[in-house]
Amino acid sequence: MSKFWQRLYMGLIFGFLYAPIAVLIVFSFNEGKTRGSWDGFSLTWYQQLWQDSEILSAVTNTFLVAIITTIAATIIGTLGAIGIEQYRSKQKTLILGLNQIPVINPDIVMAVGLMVLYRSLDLDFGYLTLILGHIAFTVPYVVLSVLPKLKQMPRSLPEAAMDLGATPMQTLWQVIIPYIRPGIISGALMAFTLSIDDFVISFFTTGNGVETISTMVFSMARRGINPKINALSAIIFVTMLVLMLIMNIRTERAKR
Amino acid sequence: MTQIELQNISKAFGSMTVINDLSLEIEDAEFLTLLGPSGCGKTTILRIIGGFEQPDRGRVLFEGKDITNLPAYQRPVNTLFQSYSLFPHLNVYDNVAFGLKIQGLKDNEIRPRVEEMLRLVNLSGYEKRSVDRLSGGQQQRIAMARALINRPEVLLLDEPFGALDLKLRKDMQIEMKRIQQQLGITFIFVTHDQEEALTLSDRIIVLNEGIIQQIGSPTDIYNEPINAYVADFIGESNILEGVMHADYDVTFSGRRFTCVDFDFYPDEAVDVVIRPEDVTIVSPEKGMLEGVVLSCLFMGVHYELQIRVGQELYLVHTTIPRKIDQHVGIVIAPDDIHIMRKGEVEGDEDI
Repeated sequence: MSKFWQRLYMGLIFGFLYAPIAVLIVFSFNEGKTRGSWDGFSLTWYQQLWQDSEILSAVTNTFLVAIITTIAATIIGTLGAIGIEQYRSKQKTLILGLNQIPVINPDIVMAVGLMVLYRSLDLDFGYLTLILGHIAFTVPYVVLSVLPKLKQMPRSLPEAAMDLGATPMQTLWQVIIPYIRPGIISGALMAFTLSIDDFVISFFTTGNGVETISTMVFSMARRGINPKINALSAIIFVTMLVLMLIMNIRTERAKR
Repeated sequence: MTQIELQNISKAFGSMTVINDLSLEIEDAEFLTLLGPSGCGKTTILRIIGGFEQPDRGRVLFEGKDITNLPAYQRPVNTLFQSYSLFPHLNVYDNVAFGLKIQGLKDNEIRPRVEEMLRLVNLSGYEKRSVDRLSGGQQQRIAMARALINRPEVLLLDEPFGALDLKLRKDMQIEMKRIQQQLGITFIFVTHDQEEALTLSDRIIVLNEGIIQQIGSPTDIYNEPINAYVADFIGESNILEGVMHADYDVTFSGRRFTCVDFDFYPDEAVDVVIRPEDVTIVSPEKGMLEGVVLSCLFMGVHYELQIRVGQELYLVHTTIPRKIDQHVGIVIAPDDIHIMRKGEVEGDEDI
């Protein structure tokens, strides 16, 4: 009996969590344009999606921004983590605290802050401000995912490399980076998903017609949602699901 | 020939002085052991020679050249680390080849040298293995091959046997001595294990609190410890308070003894050191001292007895067991009585 309640409870929770996504995916295959009724299966919206230049440019922007952000944030975050690890414990705690604040800080504060900063620097809103904003909010996550790997690395490992004649640069590339690679990769994946996922920061730091998927959907929503968005959202959901699976499998493997 | 010279080295971590004005000369091709308890500064000395630690004061010379400020990767020494520190992302071959690849050698030059090194450490055929699938002893050998492939003039070894079990440790000790003699290079070895030090070394340096207590061959250090600290650290000893009245004339345990030491101040307070195996047990009436047996433990080769003589405890090794509470006599030959100036260390007699 208790097993029945357990299952029901779990079913309700997951139902609540996944119902919106399920409805969205189902209706992305809907023939008609109305949102309330089912008019039969069709791939119309997926076809139309590829013909809509506004949506396509938003998708391109989103991925362009995500890729550049990932590369930059991974490099900055990894080097940052290596640097932080060199400090003595007191300074390290301070720097780690400073690193943590953007992570727990609400996005909206960061977003408005970035907007005000760009204004005061008189920057043109567009790709540059958008990408800088994304790098700023993803770097701390990369740092946080690389640091545990660095902590795990015995101090004698880079020493052994230098002992064998490797310069500090060779040691970094041939010993330290390979050792912390799993941390770097999960940091990069995290930066990538966060960047794609983001709306708040993008909304406040973009301009001049540069739209990402989320800002585009937001402005469309005011005009009334087009079912093409259902199709797009379904694609994004599946993409994210795959990315998440890859990440989880990686961490599981790393544990073993 | 002097190969490495440390001149007046001092090193402190924060407010803790680890090495205090230490000077030392290391000969070419010798097996030198730095021996002392943990925290005596032996590993720090090794790290200063290896270039991983900068001394606060003093200089490090290699064949007469000052290398104090030379980074680790430019020094002609290699290290065998305590934890082996093999590169986990590389297989056995690439681990051993690491030093040569860094030098930019070609594959056809590297391969024969890696094979030669693996043969030296008896691990031919392990090239493709992943290093985390090797046993502790095998990892140790690979670390050795990796450190030796650069043909260093000096190999530094930081307690390399700490993680191995007793049997394997003995095997590796013999192996290491063989390799050292085969290659004819200097080994500077750090350990807290006095038995290991006595077995392997050409010369031993006994350290305590960053100060050299004594330098000498294993037999010198065992037979002629310079002070009570060394005597106690190297093997087991009875250390007794005594007074040296004149040359060859000492009092301890409430009796006057004849000994072989001389050149002390009249009535100087001294440490008297007697090895447990140098104490002979006789019947009470024949003894120089009389005591009561407190315990008798079987140790394999011998029995270890604790005997109370007045207020003092004597540790005695004998092949004949005695009963507890038995009254016994003790005899000590004059040349088994070692008299030591209190707190004397290496170099004091020159002043």
